[in-house]
Amino acid sequence: MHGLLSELFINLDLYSALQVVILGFIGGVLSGFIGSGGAFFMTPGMMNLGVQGVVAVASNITHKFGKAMVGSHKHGEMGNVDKKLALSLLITAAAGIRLAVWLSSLLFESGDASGGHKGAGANLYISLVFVSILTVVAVSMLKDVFGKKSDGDTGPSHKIAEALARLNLKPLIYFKVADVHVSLWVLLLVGLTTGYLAGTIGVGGFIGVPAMIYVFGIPTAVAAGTELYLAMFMGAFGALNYAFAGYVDLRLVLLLFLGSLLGVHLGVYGVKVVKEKIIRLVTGVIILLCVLSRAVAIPVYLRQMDLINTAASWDGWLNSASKGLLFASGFAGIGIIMYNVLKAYRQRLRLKRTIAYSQKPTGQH
Amino acid sequence: MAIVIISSEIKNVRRDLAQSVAAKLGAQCISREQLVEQATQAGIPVGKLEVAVFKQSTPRERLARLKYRYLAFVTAALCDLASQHRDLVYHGRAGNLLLPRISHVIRVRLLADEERQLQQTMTSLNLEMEKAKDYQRRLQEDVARWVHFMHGTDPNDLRGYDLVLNLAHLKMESAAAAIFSMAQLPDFQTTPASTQALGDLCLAARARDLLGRDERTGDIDLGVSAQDGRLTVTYMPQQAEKAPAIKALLASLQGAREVVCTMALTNLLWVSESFDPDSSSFAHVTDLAQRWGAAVELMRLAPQTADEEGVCLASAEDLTAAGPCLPKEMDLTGGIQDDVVTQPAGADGGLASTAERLISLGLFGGGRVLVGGGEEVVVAIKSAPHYSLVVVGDVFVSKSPAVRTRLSRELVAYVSERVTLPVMSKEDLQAKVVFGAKQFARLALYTAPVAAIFLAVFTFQEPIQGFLGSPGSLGMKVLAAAAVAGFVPLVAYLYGNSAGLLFKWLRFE
Repeated sequence: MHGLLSELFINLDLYSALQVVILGFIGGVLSGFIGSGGAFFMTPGMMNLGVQGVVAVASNITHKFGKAMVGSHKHGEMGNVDKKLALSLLITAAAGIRLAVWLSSLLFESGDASGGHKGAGANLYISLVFVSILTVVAVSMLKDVFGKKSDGDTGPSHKIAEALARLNLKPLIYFKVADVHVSLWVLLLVGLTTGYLAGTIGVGGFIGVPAMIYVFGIPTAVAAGTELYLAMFMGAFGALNYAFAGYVDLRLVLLLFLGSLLGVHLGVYGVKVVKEKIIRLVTGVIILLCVLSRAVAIPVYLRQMDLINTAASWDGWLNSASKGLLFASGFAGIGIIMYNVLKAYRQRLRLKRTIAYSQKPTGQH
Repeated sequence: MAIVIISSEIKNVRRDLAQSVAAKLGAQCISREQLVEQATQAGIPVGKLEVAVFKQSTPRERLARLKYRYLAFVTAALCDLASQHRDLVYHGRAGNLLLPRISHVIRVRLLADEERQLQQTMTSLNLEMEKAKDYQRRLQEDVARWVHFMHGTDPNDLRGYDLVLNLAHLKMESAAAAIFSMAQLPDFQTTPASTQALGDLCLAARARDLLGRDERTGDIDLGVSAQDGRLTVTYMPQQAEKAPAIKALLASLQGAREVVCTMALTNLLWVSESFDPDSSSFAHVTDLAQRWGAAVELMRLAPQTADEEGVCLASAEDLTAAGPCLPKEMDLTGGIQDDVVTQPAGADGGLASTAERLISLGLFGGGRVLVGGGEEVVVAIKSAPHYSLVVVGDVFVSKSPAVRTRLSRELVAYVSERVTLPVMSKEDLQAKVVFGAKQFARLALYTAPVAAIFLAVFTFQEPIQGFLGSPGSLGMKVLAAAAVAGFVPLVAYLYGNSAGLLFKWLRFE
């Protein structure tokens, strides 16, 4: 890339392209396994490769848009999509995305105007939101894993949904597929938050899915399907906005697709063969490592904005540490998932022998 | 032997009629309230279940296990009473749904005199007319909600009854006489087939009840069905450690000719009028089941003749305790039944031979016969929510090929629209399972444009990114956004299909 373009988009050689494909693959496996978009891994991963934060978010949200379109179609076939709920959330989610894009663009440009490193402001802002939100998500998830009683009740808690139902904040809207009544005000708040976070860090599902499960009280499968349907529209809206602002790197989008659409198949297979508690545990740990990885990179942006006085030579080390942590979390997650996938594959071959056949009345089993 | 079931929301009215009918028949009389009390004593929190359903405060999936346990208890209790007493009269809210597909059960819908009920409510609760009306309306809504939750149907669906009596037009004594007369009809006498059906229903219910009561197995979801005395219990791999407990518990169960415990990830429901273990459909279904680690449940969709019309439509049954739905033969024989049911070879549509083959493969998840069409299939699927796929095989076989194709397609569409899981025809299944030349062609068809797109984008990356990234006029910006919005889904669609086919080829689904 030459001229102004080189400020915005990175030069891709075979090595960096391969890294983006690997990011996509790991993100795809995690996405299929966890049920989120995998942005928590791919966005910081691309930033570690030198991609501007706003471009990383824009490219990821555009990639997510296409992926969600394919995924939501499949969920739709399974009857897991409450379109009315998704479209209701979309109204405020669109406002949230617009707010996020405006803020990111403003910070990206202001970094240049104030004399600091261009994009550093946006990078810092995105990283801070990323770290704070995902810390809450990861800690809640791990707390849920370790705090759950071992009485076999592995389902999510519905205390919040029940408390809100008692408040009876009118008007209430009934959603047929999800089979719940939700207050319009709660709906608007969740939509706005989901949209803002999707637009800021490309992570909408981490807020949307738990909100639907814990706040609205809808079944997990419907929450995942509806979120994906919503993500399709949010992704489209985000992609349009970022494309209009000129931040989408089509090459990154294609490379992410190359890895993620393969990885997602393996992740989905992993979900079928790993216990739910283990899924949550692995997810929580991976997210926490991603948070740590991003937190390590924050001093770089602070220095670029002249907010702290550290040696520029530290940037390389911090970036490497950040990248190392991210890839460690990704590879650890992939390792656990692939181990279970292969184990299940072997078990399946033995499945025929697992039949237990007992003949009555002798009682011999 | 007669079993009379009277359904009404108004307890006093149905109780009076049931006692009157029981006195005429010399039958044992039992009420829903008595069974609820017994269930509560057995540790099933029925009150809690009712409150949760009425208030809709607890997520439905949490109630599902309790629901099945309660239904199994009630069905088993009715079965026990039916075996102890020659005649039985039961009255409850939606009792017509409790013993589905048993031809010698008379299902009566009782409509109370509304004016009289209103007066009684006003007097007994000391309410004004409007409030009393409101109270009755709420009561009916609660009952409808309960019935919908427990059985997935509307209590006012009259197709679920054999007789509707309106006490606004009839005296109680006349209503009792009408039921008594009906109980004498040959249509409602026991036959070997109906006895077998009741036996299977009871066996499955007792097994489910027994498993639900035991602390080792009470908290797991099991598929339980019975056919001709053969009890099939399907469990998931994560429940494998519970398998010895299941077998130990069922060893003491009376009435089971054979007990089969099968581990499955999920169940595939194969609906067909005729089965053939040597057919290509059988190979495709078992191939998919082995890949998924699933059990195959057979549902023979027997054609519905004019004589049989309404037999199975009559109830939106609870098929959790499955049993065969056999056509009434009264109209054909004048009510005279052979003592021994004889079936010519192949008259079961290949059900037995296919079941045997599935058992030998370790893939059998149960079997049953259902008379009717799409509506009955939908009810059956909704009543047993452990399926992950429904395959519609050879149906309407007596029709011409063109009509058969159209009707099959319509059946698939009808069921698909009404259930929340994939439904496909055997042709669709073949297309999805078999990876032949056609699939290779599709793989190439999807992969080629993807490769071309990648080549083009990375060859001309500078001008493309220049177009997308450089600040231009408003028109150019809109064009860039539109290009991204149109191009990205296309790539995702093409490459998504390509990747899916690749994994299918690798048999890695």
